[in-house]
Amino acid sequence: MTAVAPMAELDRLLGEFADAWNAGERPRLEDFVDRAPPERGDELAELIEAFLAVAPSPRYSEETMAELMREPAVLASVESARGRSGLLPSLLPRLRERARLRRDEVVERLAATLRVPGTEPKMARYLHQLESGTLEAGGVSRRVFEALAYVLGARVEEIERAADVPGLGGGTGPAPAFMRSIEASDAAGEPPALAAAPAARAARAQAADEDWDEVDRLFRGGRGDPSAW
Amino acid sequence: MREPSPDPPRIPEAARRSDSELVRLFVRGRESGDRQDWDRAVDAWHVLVARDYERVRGLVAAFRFPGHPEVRIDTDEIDSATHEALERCLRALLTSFRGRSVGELRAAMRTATHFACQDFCRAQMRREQGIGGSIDDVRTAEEGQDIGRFDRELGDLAEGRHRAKTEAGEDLDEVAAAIAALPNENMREVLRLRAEGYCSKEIAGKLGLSPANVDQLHSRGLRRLNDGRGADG
Repeated sequence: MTAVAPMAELDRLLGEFADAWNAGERPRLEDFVDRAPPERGDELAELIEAFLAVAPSPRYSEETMAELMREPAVLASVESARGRSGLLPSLLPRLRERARLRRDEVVERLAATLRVPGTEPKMARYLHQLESGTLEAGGVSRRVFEALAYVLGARVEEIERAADVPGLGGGTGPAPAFMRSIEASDAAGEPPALAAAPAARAARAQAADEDWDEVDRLFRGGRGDPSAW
Repeated sequence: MREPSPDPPRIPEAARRSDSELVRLFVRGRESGDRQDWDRAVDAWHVLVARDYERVRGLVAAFRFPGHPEVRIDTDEIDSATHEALERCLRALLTSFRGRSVGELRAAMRTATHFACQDFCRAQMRREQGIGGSIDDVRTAEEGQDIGRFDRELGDLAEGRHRAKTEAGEDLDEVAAAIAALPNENMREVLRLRAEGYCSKEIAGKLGLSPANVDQLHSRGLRRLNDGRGADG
């Protein structure tokens, strides 16, 4: 084989990748690298990377676009952008997957780590809210983040930093003092805009207060709530 | 082969907009206090991130650790690393991104993806090799504190080079300028037409070349753009 042949092969593979990209066929770089001469695989990867840096958005069909919009990582990113839990809707499922734990297993270990046995159902609801972006991250105690870090084999700073990223709609959200009333509003199915003022809201918040327990304090009492320690 | 989608596709109105329009909606939503703007921005982000999912995934698959090309993302970890990269992209866009163009957005996403891949490799190596100490010792590239024992200095130097290279090409206009500086007219045309979405055969037909010649000019042009040597012949 001459020295030119492998180069021509790289040119051809790059061209094939670019054609498939522009046609919206979702070509996989690793498949193309596998087809390159072994000693030229890195070179092809570098070429495709350079192409991707300047490539136009592909012409995806509606069906392909719908598939892409349902990719778990895409949905997690959107829930993070939309929600009130920072990047936790993206981070927590990813950490769970990495730790090879189901959500119920995380809940079980979380309850044990936080020494609140028997609260698993309530804790499961809160964890679900964090993963779906509907729980204000600013209300979650650092102790919960430390326990999550322990259970998921992650760094507490990583979890806290993710929680602190403001979403598109809410900044850092309401102060902890208002959190219970807003949560109560959510539970009643009211839009957030109604959460702040009416007397009915105060009454509902009072009712919510009566059920306020250790798990509520952990997940809604605020990052620095000393009673959570 | 991918599984066929069980549900009929539901494409939002935002999917009919151009990338530039979507970036504008995203930026406006981030800066606005209006709920409708936020909702539009989220819809815009949904379409943008879906359109760029494969680009980010490709960058993850192409990643080679600076100075250590043998360190890369395992094939069965590419999707997981892509998830982490998209998370890093969103963090950058919500906290530090100040651009307003598609080119700036893509440059920010490339940088975020690159750093996410570096962190992914570091964390993976620590887990697999059981290097002593806590995982807390690994820092992310944004923190500017202790980088961990895996190639502290070399990694920093490589990051600096990559950042400079990325910043140098922060806008598609700059890419266009780099293409315009290429000395070979056919090479310029091939890159321009590729960027407009044409396939090899179509470009070959337009320029009176063979598809093999088009592929060759394309890869040579990309090499020159990648090396930043567009004008040196």
